[in-house]
Amino acid sequence: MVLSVALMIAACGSDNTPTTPSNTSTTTSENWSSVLAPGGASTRSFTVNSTGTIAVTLTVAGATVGLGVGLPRTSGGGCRLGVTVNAAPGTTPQISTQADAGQYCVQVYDLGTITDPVGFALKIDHP
Amino acid sequence: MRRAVFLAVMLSCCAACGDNTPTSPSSTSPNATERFDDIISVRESKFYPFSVGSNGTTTINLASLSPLDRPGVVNATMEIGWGKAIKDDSGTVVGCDLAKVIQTTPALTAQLTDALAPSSDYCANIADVGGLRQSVNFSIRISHP
Repeated sequence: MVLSVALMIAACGSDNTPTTPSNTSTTTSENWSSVLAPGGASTRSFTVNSTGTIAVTLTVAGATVGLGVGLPRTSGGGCRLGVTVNAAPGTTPQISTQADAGQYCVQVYDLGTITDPVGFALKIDHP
Repeated sequence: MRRAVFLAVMLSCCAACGDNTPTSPSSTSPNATERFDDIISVRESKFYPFSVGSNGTTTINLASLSPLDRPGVVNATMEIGWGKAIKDDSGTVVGCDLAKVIQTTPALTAQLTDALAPSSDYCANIADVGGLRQSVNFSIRISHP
């Protein structure tokens, strides 16, 4: 009987080691393709659910274009840019930036070099 | 008799073991996010009044500084800060008594983080400290309880 009681006490909730919380944030990928007009800008909004990295990869474009990430305008369309690069298409992110949770936008814009509409495609990875 | 004692001891051990009553999460109200979007000119400063609903963390983020006439970013160093709102006799906010300022460039994560109490009215402030060559759009996010 003593042995049984000892075994039960040993099994009884003595492990107070805190459990490391699992990382519940997942990365979401969004693909977007559209057409950029000469002198124009194209914008798409997305939501970041937790602090993390926004990575934007311009995968297809008929020219070097401006690529940026920022906050959607509070009235009307468009994007208030916070990070920009001049981007040629590639397979690695041209923009990789830390961001808090919230609403964001990605914008592709003409650097003043295109004379005809050009198609583009990009991928946005974010928490 | 011995069996009865054994069962009693076993039952008391089981009863004492493992309180699995879930703990109620503490009440934390989600933060609200306000936007302060405007145009700022060379050597100008602008402020935006806000209030906090409860004790907690307030963050201020200069997220964008962009040209007026084209897409892009102006990477100028600006001064941002927070303070207590100054009101006139009618209660209109007429100024911002700055309590904390930093110099920073635009980023998508908060540059200022502080614990503010709901007992005061506050203001977020932005000022050009010599980095601007022309007027620009700016966007500031204020996240508070």
